[in-house]
Amino acid sequence: MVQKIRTFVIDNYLFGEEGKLRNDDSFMESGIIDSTGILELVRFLEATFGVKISDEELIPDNLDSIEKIAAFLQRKLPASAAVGGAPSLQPAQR
Amino acid sequence: MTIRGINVAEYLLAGRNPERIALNFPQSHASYGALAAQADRVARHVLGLGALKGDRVLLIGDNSLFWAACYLGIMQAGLVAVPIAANSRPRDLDYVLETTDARIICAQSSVMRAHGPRFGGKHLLTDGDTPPLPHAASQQAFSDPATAATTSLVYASVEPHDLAALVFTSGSTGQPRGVMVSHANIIANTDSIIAYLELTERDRIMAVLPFHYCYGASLLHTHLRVGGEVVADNRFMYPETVLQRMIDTKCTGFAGVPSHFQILLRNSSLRKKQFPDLRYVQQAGGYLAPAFIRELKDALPDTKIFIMYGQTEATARLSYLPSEDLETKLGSIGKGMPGVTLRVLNEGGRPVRPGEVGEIVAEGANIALGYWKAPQESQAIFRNGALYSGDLARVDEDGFIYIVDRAKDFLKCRGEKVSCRQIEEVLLECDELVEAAIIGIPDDVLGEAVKAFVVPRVKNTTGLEERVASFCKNRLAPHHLPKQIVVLPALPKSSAGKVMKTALKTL
Repeated sequence: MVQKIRTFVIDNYLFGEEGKLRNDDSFMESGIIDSTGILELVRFLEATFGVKISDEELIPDNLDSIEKIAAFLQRKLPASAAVGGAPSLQPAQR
Repeated sequence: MTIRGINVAEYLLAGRNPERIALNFPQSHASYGALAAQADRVARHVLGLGALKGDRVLLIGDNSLFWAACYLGIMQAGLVAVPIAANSRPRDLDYVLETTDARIICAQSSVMRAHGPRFGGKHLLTDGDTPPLPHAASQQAFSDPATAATTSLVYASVEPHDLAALVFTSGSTGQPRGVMVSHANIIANTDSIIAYLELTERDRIMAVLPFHYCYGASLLHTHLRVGGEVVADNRFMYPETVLQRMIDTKCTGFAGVPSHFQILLRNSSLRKKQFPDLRYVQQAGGYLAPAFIRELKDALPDTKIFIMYGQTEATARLSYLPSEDLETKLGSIGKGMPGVTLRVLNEGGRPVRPGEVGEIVAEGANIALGYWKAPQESQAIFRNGALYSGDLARVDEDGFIYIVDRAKDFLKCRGEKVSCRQIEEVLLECDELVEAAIIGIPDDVLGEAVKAFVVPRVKNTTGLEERVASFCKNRLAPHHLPKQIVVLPALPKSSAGKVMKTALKTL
């Protein structure tokens, strides 16, 4: 999960420059993502991980670094899907 | 005889209550006393480096106490502030450094880390400890907490037309140009804005706009002048955080460019929240489509909405639409504000008749002195003491001005001039979209055809192009229908938040 988010951020906002981003770097402080960029990131998270993110959840605590996004998604995803690694492809079913 | 003017720093800081909060940041705040003391330290430091009246000082950073103290300190010392965005492109930064010949640079640490090697031979002021740069002429960190000044402050004497700032306009049309703004310009513009917004020391503005941009600077100027409070927040990428802070800090005002309002209306909980202290919102920096103005009025029924118009070449502001005229004059930028004469002139130089299109021409004490080191460009825009804005507009029977378009933001479609804005406005009525921009593409039949770039509000964009096309079908003339529709996650924008059509043309 972390790697998928990381790849998206690096490809879209850092022009592929892998070395410049740590997983706990704040997007806000580093200035790499702006207000429209964050909406793009949210669309990516929804499409890739099959979650629904509401406007009220667009806060730094949830989204402001790769680590925070990963923790946020872990909280949102059903436990079984999170372990599955690709929940959008393997929806939790019984 | 020389007329002694007032130094902007003195106009903004002298006589304020030193205990009151001037600047409020998420993690800290600064009183008027602390701000004046910090500015004084900067003034003394730059003068100690041998700077002379009129020398340019580059100021690079995000909104912060450091930024405000440097800006005011530079002016207090009689020097010229050259504010530019922290995320300026290296080539713009190099250009500004070269053309202004600045020997002193005030830069926040992140800028020093990113661009340090460019600053060889310069005197550097930073907002925190940064590793020493081997080639700097000197380096000083302004990180110590300031206490209120004990001695009375000295403000350099200035004449009204002495330069206070060189404000570079965003590079959406080629090379950045430095607008020469005088002490008298800033004071005149600030007085006018305070008058029509009826600002007092009880006002607290949420400032998400960067201070290096003339609109952001106007928030700082007006609120310091009245002894009010600037609640600065660089986190608009998280609109919820900013909205909640507005509530918590009891903001009485909010200022934004169109994209701020579009995001708040379509991607935030603006409608669900209550803002009991919010007296007014102000919008400038481009055209907010009527559909959004209506939505904004619905979302904030008890808040005054001021639609305004301005240019960096006019310090910041030229006109406003009184909030009580918002519904009857929807889409208008109002009339010239106090101290400004705003006319719409036809090609013969005479005022247009109602309905006729002409160019907006402005006069007033806020009109800047010209462009830095660009006499020819200056003569084209600043003529006979007036500013020829390049914006095309019409006037109604009551004298209210409606912008038709930027002079160059037209398509030639079937030989007919088509305003890009008119088509963008129709697209934005589609509630699946948050932003839209139109450019012309060569077309064998039409001459130019419409190409639309749209930014979806919804996350699911499947089939969006088709839905937008069918939405347009009933609303636009056949030759105005977009021939191509491109869905983008965001429109390319300058640091001032303006859509850069030149960038769209390369996509």
